[in-house]
Amino acid sequence: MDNSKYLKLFSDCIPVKGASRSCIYDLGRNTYQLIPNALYELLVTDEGKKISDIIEQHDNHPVIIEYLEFLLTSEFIYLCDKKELKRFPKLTHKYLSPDHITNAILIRDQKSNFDFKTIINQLEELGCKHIQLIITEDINIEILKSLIDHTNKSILQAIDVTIPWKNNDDIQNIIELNKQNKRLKRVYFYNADHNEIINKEELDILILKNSKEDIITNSSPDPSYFRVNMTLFNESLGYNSFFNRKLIIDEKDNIKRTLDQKDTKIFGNITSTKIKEIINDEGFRKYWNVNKDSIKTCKDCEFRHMCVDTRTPIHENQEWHYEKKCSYDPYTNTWTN
Amino acid sequence: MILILSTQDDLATNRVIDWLQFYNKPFIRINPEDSISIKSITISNTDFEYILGVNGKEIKTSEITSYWYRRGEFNFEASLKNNNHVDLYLNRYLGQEMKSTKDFLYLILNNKKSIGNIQHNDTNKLYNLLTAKQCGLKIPETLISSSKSQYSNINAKKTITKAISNGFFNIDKYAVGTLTKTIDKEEIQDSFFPSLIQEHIEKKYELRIFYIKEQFYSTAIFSQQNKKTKVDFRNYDTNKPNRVVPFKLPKKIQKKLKKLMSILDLNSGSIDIMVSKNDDYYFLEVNPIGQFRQVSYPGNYYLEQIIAKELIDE
Repeated sequence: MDNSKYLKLFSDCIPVKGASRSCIYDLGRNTYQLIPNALYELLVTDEGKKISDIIEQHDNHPVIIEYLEFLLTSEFIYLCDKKELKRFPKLTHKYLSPDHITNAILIRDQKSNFDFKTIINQLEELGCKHIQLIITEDINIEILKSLIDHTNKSILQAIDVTIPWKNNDDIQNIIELNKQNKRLKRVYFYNADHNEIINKEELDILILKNSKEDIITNSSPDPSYFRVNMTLFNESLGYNSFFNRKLIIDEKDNIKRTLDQKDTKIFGNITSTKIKEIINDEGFRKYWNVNKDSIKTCKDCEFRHMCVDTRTPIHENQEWHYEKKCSYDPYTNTWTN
Repeated sequence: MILILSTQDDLATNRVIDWLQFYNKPFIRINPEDSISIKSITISNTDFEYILGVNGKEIKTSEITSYWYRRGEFNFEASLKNNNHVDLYLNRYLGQEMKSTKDFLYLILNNKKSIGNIQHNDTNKLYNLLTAKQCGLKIPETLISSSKSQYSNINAKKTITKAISNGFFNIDKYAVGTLTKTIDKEEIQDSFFPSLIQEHIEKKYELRIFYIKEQFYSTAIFSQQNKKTKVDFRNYDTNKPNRVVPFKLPKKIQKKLKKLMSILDLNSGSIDIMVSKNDDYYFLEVNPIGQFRQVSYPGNYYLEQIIAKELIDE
């Protein structure tokens, strides 16, 4: 380590402070590193300072040298000349999207008869690229296929399907379906007799014992759903990364803003209301701006900008919080299941 | 109406189009897969109109407000298909006729508000290098030679070789790309096909810069620490990708680059610069099209929106 150089954090590595530990979000490599809060403090207060000054300032403490060596070998920091410091600005945290709706959850059963193609066309007009299709009762694969066929030639990029488990034939049927339409990326089977995960090139099949409700309203955040990337990070700073630009159409063709059973608010029925007529409704957008920094407990959590939390926040006593407790406690850094 | 000429598989075009849709602006995208016919071209003392048929729709050039040449070309329908000997020559003649009509269209479009143009497709790297030098930019010492005896003429300790042209060729349907390689002096044969030999710069980092509307959007690529990308950063390491971070280009370099782009008549493009261990900025090349996503995403610059806005602006 050259002590005459200056400490610079790579701008795609962003330290986020939690109640009792912190985290470096590595947006360039889509990963994260947990760090002690003392190291967080060092990164935010000592960046841009001369290495020898930093070491001296901390009374040549061996831990400081150890920290710096760790940051350097992990490529979170680099050492540069003083005049170079100004050449490396911080990343802006601007989040912009040309898509009015980025994600739609469509619930279908045998009674939902509204033309699926029309829904897809309307979503396409609003720039929506991702849909999650939830089938609430046994249907044969041909019906699923006919639904997915409606997305051929659309701008849709990814389709996730949640469907009840019948038997092992389902697996081969899904693989065939994926061959015909590559947009099908992930399939969840619920109410299965066993748990199994199958990964094919660009297709994930998850066979789960869980009930439909478990999967859809996803009880509590789970580290396997953590995602570290620039788009999500920036979105999460200003918006709720689950609810922002999300649209739900339930099995009765009602347009909704959440999957929560208690949220009875309906923004029209797709048979008579056009999606674009309601997307600017303030009520429809109620949860879009409820970012993690404004939610009790979450705001103290080091995972707050990688956690896509499906719970619906509640506003009480001028504060947002969740009714259902999270399985992670950021004050003790412990997980409970 | 905004006209975009691109290729079917170009994802960067899709993202710009998303923004055009967001702003509710009419556009047409033409790919080489689209067959184009000429409906009529009227050049009279009172009127001018060039009408194309694209997938059953009529496009009047007078209604095109701006034009983005991304890549590809217009695929004009061939009029005659025959194998017999006489028709071969006749077809060649008809092809010439068609080419003039097509070139006329490119000329008309270039007079519109536009980003890029097809004439720059075959940009000449050597001419660009020479012009960069004339604009006061530092360039690596460069020699093109076909013999070992000439090799000592290059004023450099270590050398590399890379393509003189765009560096791509096709073997059947497969595209093959060439990378920059260091030269081992011992392995040089006495004579060889004329090749580009260039001074190897000990780099600190590389800059990938996108230029549009006289603005520079730069990123620094830390490819030096990684053995795989030390000589050519395109030799990607997917497990531990190089750090790519936003960078502020010095004003002095900006000024020289602006002059270069103006002389080369490029209103947009991707520029490669290498920053040496001694903090010298070496101009390597400029690509009139370029993969701007590689700058846009890591720099969080939203270049797709900037391009869309540039096409929309009256």
